[in-house]
Amino acid sequence: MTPLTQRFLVGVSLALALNCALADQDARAWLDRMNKELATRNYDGTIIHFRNGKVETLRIVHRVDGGKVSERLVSLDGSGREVIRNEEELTCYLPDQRRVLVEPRQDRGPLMGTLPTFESSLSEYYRLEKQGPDRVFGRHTQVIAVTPNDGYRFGYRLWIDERTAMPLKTQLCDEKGNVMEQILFTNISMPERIPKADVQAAVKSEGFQWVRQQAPQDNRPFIDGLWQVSQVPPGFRLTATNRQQIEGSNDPVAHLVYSDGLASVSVFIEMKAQQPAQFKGFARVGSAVTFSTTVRGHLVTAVGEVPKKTVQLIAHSVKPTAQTETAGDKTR
Amino acid sequence: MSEQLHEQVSAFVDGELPEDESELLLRRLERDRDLQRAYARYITIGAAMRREPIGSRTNTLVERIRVAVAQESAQPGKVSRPLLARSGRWLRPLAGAAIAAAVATVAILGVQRIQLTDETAGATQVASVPAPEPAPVIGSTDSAEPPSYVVPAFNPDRRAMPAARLTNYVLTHSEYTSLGRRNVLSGVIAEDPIPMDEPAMDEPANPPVDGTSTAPQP
Repeated sequence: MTPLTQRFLVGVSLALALNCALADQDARAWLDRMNKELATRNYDGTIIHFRNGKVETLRIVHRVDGGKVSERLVSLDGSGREVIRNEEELTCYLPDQRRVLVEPRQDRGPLMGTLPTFESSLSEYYRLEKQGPDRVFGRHTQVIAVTPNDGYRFGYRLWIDERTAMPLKTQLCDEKGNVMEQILFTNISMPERIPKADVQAAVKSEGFQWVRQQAPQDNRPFIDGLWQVSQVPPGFRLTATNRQQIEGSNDPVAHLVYSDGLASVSVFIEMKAQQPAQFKGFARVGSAVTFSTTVRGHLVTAVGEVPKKTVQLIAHSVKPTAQTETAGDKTR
Repeated sequence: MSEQLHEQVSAFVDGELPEDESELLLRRLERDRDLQRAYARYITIGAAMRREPIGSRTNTLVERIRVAVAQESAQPGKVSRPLLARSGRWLRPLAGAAIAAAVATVAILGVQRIQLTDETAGATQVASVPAPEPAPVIGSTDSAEPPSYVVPAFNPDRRAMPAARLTNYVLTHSEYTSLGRRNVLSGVIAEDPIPMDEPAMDEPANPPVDGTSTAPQP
């Protein structure tokens, strides 16, 4: 290879690397802008959610008033189910079951969801790229793709509106890039003010069973050292431990959260005897996959918006520590 | 809109348009705003003329689209084809179905608009279709509208069903998700947990190892 050729190849490599870095930077800038708008603006829109051959139409409302955020996601297709999320709680109305589930709110992020800051640790497991301009309903958008590097997590593709930075279209993709779910805004307004009534439940809940979770307390002494997960996919780390008090059960349920920075998997561990009916194996709730198994008389359930093998691996890897086994049933 | 196109739309709404012509119509719907408006109008007026409950026609339509999407999904290479990489455009069949469902939604909202006071003054319109109107307050005591959902008779056994516990778990988990929260919650809204048929393996195959993890990150 002649010196000239070598210099030419080095130049081309540098130009390509620079181009990739700039595109990557641009993609991050779009995601940052989207995250900011999703968290701080008022919006009221209709979305269509395609998944598993089903089509669901929902209304989503995000209201910011005096720095306080209230959100509402409601089915427009007849079940009347809806979710209300305010500063303190997440409330899920299930009129078809005559139940209302209430969870203490843990995360500050909006109901629409945002992409965490794309730091270098995340780029080890995902590729971030701007795939160029496209149009959605005639509007100019930038397409940003987040693609996993292995088969233990899912990817996303976002069509971000150039003017408002709202994600007009979002696709959830498997590790091969196949589209699994698609969410599409059919309309969206961003008014200066949204009436409070628009983020209040429309369901009449008199006579419904209210299932209220207690806010997690100082759980580390309860959780730490009692259970361990011996194998997790690369990049997943334990990021939270909680003790959940489930309605109808006297004993707390241990809750461990593992995350790679974008995808997360919750592990719930409870005494098997608490379960009035046992369940085992895989189940699906929307894009979330659950896997349940039994470990030393406890029911272990892993939940995550990840491929099946990820929840299965994590659930199978849950083991009581030696301390737990010698100390007896501390989890009761 | 030409008479032929009018007939095609009419046939599609009635479920009588052949599959190949349906696909062509959906593609045209994606591009043609006049056709989108005409389509929404057709559904709305048609429902009113038939004195059908609001949304019943569009629900049927959405169901038909659902079947169409399911059929498309069953064909490898269509849904799974990387979108921008191949053609620079997003997936046609899915997009077509999206447009059709979107137009169906517009039709529902259009019907609702007739019955509601416009309270969206000052709204910033960002999409090419009408802004969402305040939905009727279903089940509200001061509303003359009947609830738009059906609450089945209470079955006390449902309290104990495992599915309820799984829903609980998923709801709790949703607070720890980031970009996927909306997907997870709309899944909770849409359905109860569905068992997956595949038998679970006793032990994971070829597990990767990332060490034992027992303590939370600071």
